[in-house]
Amino acid sequence: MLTINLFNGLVYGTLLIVMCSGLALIYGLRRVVNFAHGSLYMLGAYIGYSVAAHADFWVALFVAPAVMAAIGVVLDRYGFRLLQDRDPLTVVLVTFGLLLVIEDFVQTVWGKSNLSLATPDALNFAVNLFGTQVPAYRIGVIVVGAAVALGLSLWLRFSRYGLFVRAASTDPTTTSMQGVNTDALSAGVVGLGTALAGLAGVVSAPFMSLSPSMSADVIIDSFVVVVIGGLGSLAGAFIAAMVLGMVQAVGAVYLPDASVLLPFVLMVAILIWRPAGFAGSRT
Amino acid sequence: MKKTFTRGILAAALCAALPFAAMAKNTDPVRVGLVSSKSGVFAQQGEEVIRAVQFAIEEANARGGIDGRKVEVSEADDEGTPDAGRRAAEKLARDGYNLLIGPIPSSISLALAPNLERWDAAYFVVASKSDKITGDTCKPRAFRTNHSDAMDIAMIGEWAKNFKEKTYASIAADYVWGHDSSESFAKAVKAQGKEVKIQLYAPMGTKDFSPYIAQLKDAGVDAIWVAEIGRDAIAFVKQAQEFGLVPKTRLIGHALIQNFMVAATENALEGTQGTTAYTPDIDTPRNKAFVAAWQSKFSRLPTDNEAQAYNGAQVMFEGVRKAGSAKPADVAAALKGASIDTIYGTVTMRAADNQLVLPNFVARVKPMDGTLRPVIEQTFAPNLTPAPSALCKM
Repeated sequence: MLTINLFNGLVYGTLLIVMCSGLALIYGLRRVVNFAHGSLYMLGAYIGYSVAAHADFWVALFVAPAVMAAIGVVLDRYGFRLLQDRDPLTVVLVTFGLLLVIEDFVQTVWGKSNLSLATPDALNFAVNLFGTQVPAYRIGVIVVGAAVALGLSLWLRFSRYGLFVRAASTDPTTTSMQGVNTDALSAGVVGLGTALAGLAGVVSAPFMSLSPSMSADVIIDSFVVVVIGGLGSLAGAFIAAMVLGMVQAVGAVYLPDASVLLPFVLMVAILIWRPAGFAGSRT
Repeated sequence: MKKTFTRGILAAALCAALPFAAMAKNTDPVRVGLVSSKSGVFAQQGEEVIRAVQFAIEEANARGGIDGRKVEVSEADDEGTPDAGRRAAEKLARDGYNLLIGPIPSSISLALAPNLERWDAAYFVVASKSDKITGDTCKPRAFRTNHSDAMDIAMIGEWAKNFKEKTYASIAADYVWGHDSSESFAKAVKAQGKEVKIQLYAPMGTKDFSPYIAQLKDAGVDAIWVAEIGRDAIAFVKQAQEFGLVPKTRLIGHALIQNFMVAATENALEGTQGTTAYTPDIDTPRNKAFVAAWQSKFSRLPTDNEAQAYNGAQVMFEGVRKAGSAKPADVAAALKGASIDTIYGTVTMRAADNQLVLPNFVARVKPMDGTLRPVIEQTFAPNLTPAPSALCKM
């Protein structure tokens, strides 16, 4: 029983990692609290749905994030870049407006009905994990999440552009003075973050249902993760996502009456203990 | 000469009388205020309700209106929340579209009912099931034309007598409706000497049901009572299939096998039994006519939500016909205790609590003519409806 609960926590945790790494990256570089991130996740899921209907789930897994990346670049060029000198509150309002626009767009294109994406055949079987049957697709979700976490960490740590991203999120002005084109860099990072939101959408579609209100489902958990982890910190978000996934999965079984409250209790407790979050030593 | 003169007088008199004749024929229109969810969590059901009420109105107008009265409609979005719903309904009622119909959740219906007198409106409930609407919040101008929770639960008690399985579990939405449903199910099967091993409640908006499914699998029961709604229900069913809980373990659904859920869960609900408010198989002349007209317009069968909304509009029109007036107060007075011919057959609008006393149904999801949909297996007579609540004082 505990095995399966830990497994479930791991699945939800990795899904949150994919979701939140985008949110954290965008905040890190653009200092934008992107309320529309949940809608981008939804848009990714819907695009994935359409691509899967015409081609295949595996094609959707690559096409949807690619389309989302393009949307992200446009969003940065014609949105965040123009707003970078504005009051943070203005930017928050703009992203909130974007959320409403995307939601209406999805309703217009795909309708209000709940849609459903089938689990790909290749992963539609059960695997015996320490004596418990678990769906292979969920193991696939963990693999994707782990790949994203590992890939991002390595990229940021060891690549030249990773160095630029780390530098720009610490001090954008000095970084650009050193000859780094921070605008192009930001466009790339926002594109990447948006693509990750889309990837989370496609990956979660086969076990959740698609509806124009699905963005609200994840955005609150995502913000809890990002705040617990320390705004803009990727490592912090990874740890927080795992903790939250576990708290939800285990809490639903052993503390059912408090399961809705637990993430927020956790958030309050951690913010009292470390006001800047797990990894928020920087100001 | 004299003849022409008389003719002239007659003609003049006729012309003068014509406007009066028109007025005597009562052609002031029936003004419908259609408030439902165009956005928010209930947008899917809202779309169905709006489509069906518009269909009913077009049909009535195509037949020359209701007793010669044209039916006019104005629409507003309740956004799925009581606050926005009340605002939208008040605006429509104050603009003269005061025969209100359409909201989905009980929270909105309960927010509208106490204001009807003040707005000079009447309200026809087509989807909200809370017992409070016909209980302590019952109002002379609010009529429920769909099944109440109490009606469903009375049926569940009867229906559970025939269950073959020995052990049960339940999973329900963690709010009043889910708790009521789960408790009455447990009571009904325990009365048969059977065992309910666990009763789980998942918070509204649960996305990942795997922790609950793990417990249900662990309990190793023969059948599971499911009282989840909307997207939660879809997520539960899909994930239950993913984890191999279904089809191995039988699901029994309370309001689970609605058309939109069957459509959104592919084949996961095939063979599932559950309560249902309507299926196109109901064998009454009016239903047959409705299904035929619907099919010729939309080339598909009406869904449960669509039929219930259509039924609500029909009850409203019948009220106008019986009252000989489109004024909400007259319509409400005429409907009280009235016997009405509906798609469910001839049924009564109970005077004590304004609940339409309907038959109720148990169905199973089956492939029919190439599509998977609920098909009625058992019909429970209207007299199973519990007595009016003592809390309802009108």
